[in-house]
Amino acid sequence: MTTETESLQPQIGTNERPALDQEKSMIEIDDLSFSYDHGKTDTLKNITLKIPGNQVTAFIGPSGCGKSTLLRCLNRMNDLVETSKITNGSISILGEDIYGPRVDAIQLRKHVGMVFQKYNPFPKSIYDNVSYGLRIGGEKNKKRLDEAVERSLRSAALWDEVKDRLQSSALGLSGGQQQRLCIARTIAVQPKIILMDEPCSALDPIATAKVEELITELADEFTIVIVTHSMSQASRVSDNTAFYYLGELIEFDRTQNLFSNPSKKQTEDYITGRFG
Amino acid sequence: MSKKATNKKSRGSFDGRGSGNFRILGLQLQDIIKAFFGGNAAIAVVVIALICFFLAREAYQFFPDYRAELEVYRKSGQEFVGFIDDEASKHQEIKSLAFQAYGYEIYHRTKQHEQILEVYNELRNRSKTAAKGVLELRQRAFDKGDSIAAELDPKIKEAAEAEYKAHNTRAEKVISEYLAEFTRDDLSTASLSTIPKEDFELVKKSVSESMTSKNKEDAEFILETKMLRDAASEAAAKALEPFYAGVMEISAARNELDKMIKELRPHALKTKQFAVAYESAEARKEALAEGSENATSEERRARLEIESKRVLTTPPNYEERNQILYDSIEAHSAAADSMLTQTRSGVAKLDASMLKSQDAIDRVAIIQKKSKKLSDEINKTENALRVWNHKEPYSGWKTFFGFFFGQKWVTNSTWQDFYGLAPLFSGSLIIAVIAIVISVPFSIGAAIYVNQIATQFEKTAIKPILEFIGAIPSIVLGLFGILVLGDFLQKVSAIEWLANLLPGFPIESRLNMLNAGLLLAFMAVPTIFTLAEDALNNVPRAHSEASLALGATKMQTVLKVVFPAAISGILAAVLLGFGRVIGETMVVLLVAGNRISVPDFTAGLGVITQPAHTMTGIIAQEMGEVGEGTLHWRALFMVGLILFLISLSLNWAAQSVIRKFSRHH
Repeated sequence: MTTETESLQPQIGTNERPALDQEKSMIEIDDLSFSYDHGKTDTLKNITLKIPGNQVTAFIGPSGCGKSTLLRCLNRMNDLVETSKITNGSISILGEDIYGPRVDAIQLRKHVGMVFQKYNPFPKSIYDNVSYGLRIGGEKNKKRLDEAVERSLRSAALWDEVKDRLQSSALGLSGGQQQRLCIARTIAVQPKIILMDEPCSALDPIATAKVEELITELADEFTIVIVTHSMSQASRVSDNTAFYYLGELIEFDRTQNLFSNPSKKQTEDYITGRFG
Repeated sequence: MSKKATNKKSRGSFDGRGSGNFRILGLQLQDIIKAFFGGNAAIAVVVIALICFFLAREAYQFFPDYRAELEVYRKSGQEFVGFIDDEASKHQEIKSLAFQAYGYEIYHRTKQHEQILEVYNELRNRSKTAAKGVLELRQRAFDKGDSIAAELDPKIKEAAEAEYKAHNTRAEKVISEYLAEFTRDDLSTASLSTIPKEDFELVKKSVSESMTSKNKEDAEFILETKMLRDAASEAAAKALEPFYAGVMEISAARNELDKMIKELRPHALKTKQFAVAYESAEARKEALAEGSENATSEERRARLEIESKRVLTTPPNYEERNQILYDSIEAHSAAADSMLTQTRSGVAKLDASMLKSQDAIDRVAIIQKKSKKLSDEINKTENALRVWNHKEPYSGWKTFFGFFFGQKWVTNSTWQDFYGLAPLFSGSLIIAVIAIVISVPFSIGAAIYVNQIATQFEKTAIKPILEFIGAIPSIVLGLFGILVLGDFLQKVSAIEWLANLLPGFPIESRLNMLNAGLLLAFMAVPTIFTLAEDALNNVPRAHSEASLALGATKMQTVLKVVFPAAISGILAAVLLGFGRVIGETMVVLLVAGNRISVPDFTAGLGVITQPAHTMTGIIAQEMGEVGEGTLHWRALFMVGLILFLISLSLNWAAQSVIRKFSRHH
């Protein structure tokens, strides 16, 4: 497997897909290996990947393939697991190594926002939820907070639905609204990158459609990395798709190419539903 | 028809009654298990209902009984005398303060010498303990030299004397070594430690001198100090003569009133005894009459009837007996007036400018305040006496308020028992509040630390230790409070700058509410900690993850997201901790000081260093010595019922807080 992946890299990088390679990359993952148990076993194995800016990149793969783990490496949420460890390689965002000694994870997360699988607004008002990130950043000016809340809610296509009840509890919203509120909360701090960990898996089809529409709109402004186990969702919302299997990156390509013309057999088996 | 048949058949194959063969009384194993668990739950409910029922059954009769007793108190004229007594006790406060002020002043003026003598005594006792062995040997040698054998044989005497000398030299060495290491800070109380250094050295010298000299006389220095002390004390008494005259005048002011009370008290008491005798005779007569009605044989019936008729029941003539009280109203006015004028003139002689002791000056200030209020007190008494009427029935409301707000809890009194909850309730409440105020920051801080910040190792270490506190028997904590904490607090509170800084310091009594409150705070920690930690644990991880993902620090996440989300659960934890503390018995019984009086709130926050009694403590203390069914017994049950209701409502409040919390999620 390992040798196969290594031999893959030049293919992805140079010859066959010049269009993707010419993009200016936002995130560069270089030969990354990651372990949850002090390095005894690697959950991610030698992943190399360049994610372009202002596009939607989807991570797909069967359960346990490491796609969420990789996502959580990008904003160092894995630091919260005490036994976790980067065993090899590095991740750079805009050219800076995010695991470098001078990088503060707290500061990093202000630039790399995250939306979770299960919508998780705080048990506070809608206004307090959206303004939370700015407030902990030290913003106290009421006017600037008001503006940021409105801008974020508008960007999240939620403003018209909640503008009359900003002070009521966020827990009174429907599931889809709560997830969009979480997105608004994330974009309120103006990150460069938004990580989404299966953002629609707890939503019904109509709410899913709304969030998907929102994701494609947000791509103009943000770089979005989305983990999904719905291949149709990946094909609908993303520009690029990466397929993982057992902790390794099998294939990374333009979404259209990957789904219509996969270059690896494992990819083909997965997207045609033969395993996974 | 055929359809029906298939239905029947298909039902048969899924019929639950068909499966399993084990049956008892036609019940399946499943049903028995269900019944077992259900039964356990039901028993708990039934037991609580029974506790409520029995508490209420013993307690409910309290108010009617108490009312009846207070009615006798009124009819017999005791209430009348009680008014005058109260008035006299107000004067007594002034009088004892005046004596105290005088005593403090004299002590202050001779303090320099008294201090030396006190240190001398302490050092002597300590040296005696330190050199106990060798002193005993010396004594034995002395006895030998003093015996008849020694009288007869000079050789023995000589040997004994030599032995004595040798032991004496050793004793001298031991004592001087002991004293050399002894510093002023080692003295038992802080007030003695202020002794000047030269004096302290002289005292040391005197101690070793007096203990090793042949005739064991006090050293020159001590004899001199004693003389100086006597002289100073004489001079002080002389200088304070005008002050003392004032004290004596205050003291004598009540003579007339005291004389009056001395006459009226036995009279009223006698009336009460008549009333009680009449009541018990009446009860006996009734019982006999009832017995005769229910008698089984004719002969027995006749005998009981005769016996019942034979019981003499003449009600006391209250009218006549109380006439002497009504007649004394005028005499009382005169006595009270003379008490007031004499007290005032006495107080005027208490010139604070001639005093040097701060304690004395403070007391004179209180005396002046109290003497101003004395005339109000006299007027109040006067009015109460004039409107008093022994025939007026004692109202139910007054009994009710008398119990809940009464300031006196007096039992086994030859005069009259009073059951007033106020001193006990205030004691319980203050102690519980002290405990909660102290334990809440600690236990919630610990809960936040363990749940949010601690490493796995710290978690596994801290949690069991804190929870282990709950396993310490409260009697052990009580002993700790008596033997260690009480002394420690007293010593700390005597440190000068602390004593000036904090109200209620220095602490006068070793056993007090602060001491009990501290121990209870310790006991409340496991309850509050465990429940608060659970509440924090129940906050979904998703909340803190969302906060961290927004770039919040760990502390911001804890304070702005996790803690607010858990606040209801934490509040419930505090309420349950309060319930735990207010119901605690052993510690407060041992450590709170058991003084039955409403704490003196004029001391401000310093009130917490006063001793008090509690609702739980009084039940534990008095339940063993009351007769079943007596008024005292019922009063204790009433206190128990109220405690039960307090705990019940605290639990209910905690649960409703949690319910409100869970509705939000």
